[in-house]
Amino acid sequence: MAVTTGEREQVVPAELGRKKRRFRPRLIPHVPIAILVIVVAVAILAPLLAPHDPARGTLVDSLLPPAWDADGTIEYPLGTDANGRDVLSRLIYGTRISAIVVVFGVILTGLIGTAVGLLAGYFGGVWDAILMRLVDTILSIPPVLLALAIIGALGASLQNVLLVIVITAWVGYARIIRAEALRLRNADHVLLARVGGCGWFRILRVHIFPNVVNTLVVYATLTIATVVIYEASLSFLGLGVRPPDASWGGMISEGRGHMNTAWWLTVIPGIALLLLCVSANLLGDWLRDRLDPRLRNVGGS
Amino acid sequence: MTELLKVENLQKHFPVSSGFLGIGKKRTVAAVSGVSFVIHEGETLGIVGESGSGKTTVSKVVLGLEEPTGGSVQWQGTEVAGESERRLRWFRQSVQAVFQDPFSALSPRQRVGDIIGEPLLFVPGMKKRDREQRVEEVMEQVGISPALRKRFPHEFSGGQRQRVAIARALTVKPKLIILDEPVSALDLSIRAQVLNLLKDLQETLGVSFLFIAHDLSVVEYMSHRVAVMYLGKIVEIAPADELYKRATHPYSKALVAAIPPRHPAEAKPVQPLQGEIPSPLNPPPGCAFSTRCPMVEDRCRSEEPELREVRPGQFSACHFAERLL
Repeated sequence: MAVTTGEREQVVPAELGRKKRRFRPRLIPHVPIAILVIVVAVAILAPLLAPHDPARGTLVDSLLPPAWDADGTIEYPLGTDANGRDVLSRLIYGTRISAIVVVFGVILTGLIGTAVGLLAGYFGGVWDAILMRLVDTILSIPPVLLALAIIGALGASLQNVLLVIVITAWVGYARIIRAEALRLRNADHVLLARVGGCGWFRILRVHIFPNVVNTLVVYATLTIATVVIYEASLSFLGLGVRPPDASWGGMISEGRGHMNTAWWLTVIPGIALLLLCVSANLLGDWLRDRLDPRLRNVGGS
Repeated sequence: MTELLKVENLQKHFPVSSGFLGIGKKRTVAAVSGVSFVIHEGETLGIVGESGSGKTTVSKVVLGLEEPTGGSVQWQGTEVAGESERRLRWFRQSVQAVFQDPFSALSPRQRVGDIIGEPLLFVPGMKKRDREQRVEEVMEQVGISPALRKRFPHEFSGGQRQRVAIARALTVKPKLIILDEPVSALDLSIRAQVLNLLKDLQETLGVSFLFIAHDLSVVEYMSHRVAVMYLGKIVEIAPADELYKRATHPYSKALVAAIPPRHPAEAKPVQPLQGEIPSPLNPPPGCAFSTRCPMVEDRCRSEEPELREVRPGQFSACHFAERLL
C-alpha cells in the first residue's frame, strides 16, 4: 500500500479488517439507494408528509413561485400551479403513482417475461416458435398506439395504464432471457445436470436461472426508468391518471402551458423523474458488478 | 467379463440447412455413420480421432443427450437410445460423464459440495445426512479436502475443478464413466495427476471408462482397447498394445507413427499424412480414408471396406489390412 504523508497509517490484520469494516459512504451505491428509499418512503407516507390537499387549491394563490423566490411564501415551498394547488403536495402524491407503476411494471412483467423466456429458450421447438411469434406481434405494435387502443376501449385510469405496461413490457424480458437460456441450454454444466438426473424444472431453477440473474437485474433496473417514463408519457398525453389526481407526467403536461411564466411547474417534476431514473440505472450497474460471485472477495461471504 | 454397454450401427445425422420455412432441400451431415462397439465391466475403451471424427457425438448419444438417427445403444441388454428423460432416470445412476473443460462443467453459482452431491438427490430413499457423508467420501477419494465443500468453483484451479467434476461423476457409484477429453484442457503436470487418479479409481472401484481423446499417448496409457475413428466411422479397434505395436489400418498406423518418441535420439523420420480430413458433408465414395491413404488403390475409391477381424481381437476396416501384418 502506498504511504502518503500527512495521513494516519492504519495497520489492520486482514481478517480483523474484514470483520470490522466501517460504513464508508460511497457515491455510487449509496446515493441512488438513498434516493430510491426516499421515493418509497415518501410514497408510503404521502398523507403524513403533504402539507396541503394535492387535489384542491385556492385560485387566489395560483401560480405562486417557490419559497426561495422573492414572491414565494413558505406556505407553498415549491410554489403552486394554475389552480392554486401546492406543487410539493402534488409531487409527494405523484410519487405513489410512480412507485405503483414500478412495482407492477417491473416485478410483474419481469416474472411473466422470465418464465416465458426460460421455457421458450430451454425447450425450443414448437413452444419457442409460438411464444416468440407472440412476442414479435406485440413488439411490432407501437406501444403508444396500443395504449391508445386499450385506453380508448377501457377508459383512462391507473389500472389500464398498468395493463398496458404489463402487456407491452414483458416481451423485452422474454426476448433477453430466451437468448440467455438458449445459450446455456447446451452449456456443459447443463448437459451434466441432465446426466446427473435433474429434471427440467430443477435445471431451469438451479442451473439456468441463477446464471441469468445478472442480465435480469440490469434489464429490470433499466425498465424501472422506462416504465416510469412510460406512465409519465401516458399521463402527459392525458391517457393515464385523471387530472385531479397527481402524477409526475400529468404535472409536466399541465405545467407546459405556463412554461414561460412558471418554470417550476415543469422543472420540479422533471427533476424528480430524472433523479428516480438515473438512480435506478446507477444502482443496476452497481448491482450487476456486485452479484457476480466471480468478482466477490474470495471467502468473503 | 460381462458386457455393460453395446452400441450397434449407431448413426447420427445433423441437419445443416432446412431451407426457407422448411421448404426446399434438406441437407444433413453424418457426424456418426455406423459405429459399433462393446464395453465390458472394469474395462477402458479408448476412442481416438481427429476433431470432426465424431468422437464427442458418440459420447453424447450414449449419454442420452442426443437422439440417434439410427442404430441402437443397449445398457446391459436394455435399449436406452432415444428414450425420454423421465425413463432414463435409472440409467443416470449407472452412467456418468466428465467433460473436457473444467471451467464450464461446474455450475458457477452452486457450491462445490452441492455440485458433487446433486446426482444423489435422485437416488430414492437417500437422506440428507447420507448424502453429505457420501460427498465427503468422494471428495477424499479424488483428493480434495471435504472442508472445501462450501466453496464456489471459481475458487479452484483447473486441475482441482476437474477433480470436482470426477467426484461428481463418482457419487452415484456408476458402472461406466464417459471421459470426454478429460485432461486435454489441463497443464501437462496436472494431466499426469488426473490420469493416475482415474487409473487408481478404476482399480479400487472396478468402474469402466469410455475414454475419448485425440492424444494417442494418453489413450495408450489409459486404455485396454482402443477404437480409432475417422469421419464418423471406426476404422480400427484393437487391444491397446496390439494397436501400438502393429496397427492394421493405414490411418491408425500413421497416427501411431506420429507419437513423439520418448527421447529425441529415438526419433525416426515420419511421413506425415497429407491433406485434411474430408468434409462430412460430402464424404468420398468408397473408403473414407482413400483421399489421404498412402497405399490407396482403385478398389478403395469404389468399394467401402467393412470392419473385419484381421487377427484375434483386432478389427480393421481396410481392404489390404493383411499387408500391414
